[in-house]
Amino acid sequence: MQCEEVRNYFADQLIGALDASSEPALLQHLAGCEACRTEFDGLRNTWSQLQVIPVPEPDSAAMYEKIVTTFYQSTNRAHPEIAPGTVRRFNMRQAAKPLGLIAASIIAVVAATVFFSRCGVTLGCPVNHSENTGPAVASKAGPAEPVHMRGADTATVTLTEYGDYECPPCSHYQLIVTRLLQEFPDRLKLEWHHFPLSTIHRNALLAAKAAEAAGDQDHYWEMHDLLFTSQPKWSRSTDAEREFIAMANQIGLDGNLFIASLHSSRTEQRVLADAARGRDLRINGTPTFFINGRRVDSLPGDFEAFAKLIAAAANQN
Amino acid sequence: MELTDNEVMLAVKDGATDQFALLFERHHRPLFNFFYRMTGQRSASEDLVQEVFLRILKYRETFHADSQFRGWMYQIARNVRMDYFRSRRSEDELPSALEPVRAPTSSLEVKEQTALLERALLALPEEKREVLVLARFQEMKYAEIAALLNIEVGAVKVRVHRALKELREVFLKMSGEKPICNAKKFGIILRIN
Repeated sequence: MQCEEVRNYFADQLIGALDASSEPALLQHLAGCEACRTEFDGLRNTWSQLQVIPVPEPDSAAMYEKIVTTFYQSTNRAHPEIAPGTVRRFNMRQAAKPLGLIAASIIAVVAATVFFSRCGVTLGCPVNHSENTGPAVASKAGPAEPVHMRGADTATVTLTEYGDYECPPCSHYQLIVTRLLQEFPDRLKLEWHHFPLSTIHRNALLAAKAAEAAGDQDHYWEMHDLLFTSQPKWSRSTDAEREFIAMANQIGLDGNLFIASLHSSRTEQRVLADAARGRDLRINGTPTFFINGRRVDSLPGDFEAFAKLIAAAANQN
Repeated sequence: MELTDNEVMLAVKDGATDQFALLFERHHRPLFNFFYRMTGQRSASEDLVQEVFLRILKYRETFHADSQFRGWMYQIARNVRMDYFRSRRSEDELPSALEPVRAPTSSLEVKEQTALLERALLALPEEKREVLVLARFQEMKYAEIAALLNIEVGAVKVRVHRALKELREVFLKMSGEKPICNAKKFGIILRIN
């Protein structure tokens, strides 16, 4: 085997894809040819070194928020008369038919704009229906637990949210919900329920338990907020528990009590009971909202659209 | 059983847009890594990832049942990246090194070597950098890269080899080590300290 021929095998050998019939010949040549061996060793060394170049962690929640915001801004501009959440499901194929003679690129842009502005897009984390969201529990909700509420006790509008702390869209809506509570201080309260999507979010269940554990020391909402603001950090962690303990320290919790609560079966049962309620309600993605018990089928894309829904509910009371 | 990317994308195309988040979950980090290796800039990379997902939504009607989602998505990513580089040419050059990322376990020497390699990677021509990034960081098979770049598999292997060789030469040059001989001609590598 000549040097030129051998070098054709380098790329395959680097990724371990060289076929079994060629590898012995390559290795034999490398053993006897110092030039090729030196070159290959150098390439392999650089190839290995490339893998250790670190990459920063993207701000997933902020990226998702921007996608949703940009998307809704564009669709709202196209059809400002259509309020999100108030229109029927729209069949994309039917919409595209009349546009059949227009150039393909224009069809795609126009049809997508029409569809998304009319159907009310729900850009949330989907539930994987083939798997449980955690260890098996009874399909019926467990014993009643105190629900997590924030906002005025006398509020006439209850916004119920089923959410997942590791879900970027939930983080996006956390900002909106926080603004809503400020905008309607006397008329709105939030009721939060856990719905950790453990099949796609590896730290989601533990995060929900961390919030519950903080709640045992009457700091539920501090941890709730901190979980969302620091989501990019802990969501990719292989040792999320350490992150949560650090967060507990940050908000002044007793570390030993927090760890004990985090690992208690009662804490887990509270989370799983919430998830079971969600399944009973046929939750198909996070976040899912209910306004005074009525499901919000199409997630409002921005604060203004959500505020209109809340205001409408408040005016009905 | 978990839905494949193709199944999810077809569902999104058919109106199940709540499934879009699953695609974002699965692919935004690999895409971010791709753009970060190509641009060396975190903020720009995040913007480019957003643009890819916006185009996925915008052009989802162009996705067909016989398409491969990852290839389709990276085709969009390449277009987005080309638009970015085109706009950059009229502004300023790429950074000479990737923005620093904390690597707490690395020794000083390893850190320096890694930083040099980052600089060398960014110094490569776009075409060579891209094929290396796809093969090494995105862990794409050569056949997948060939389909994406619309070239033969053999050509991909040649490009990877040449790109890696050039990367090593740039890296060694930056390290102060200069391979001085033509190995093909002399059959050996000599170095000057």
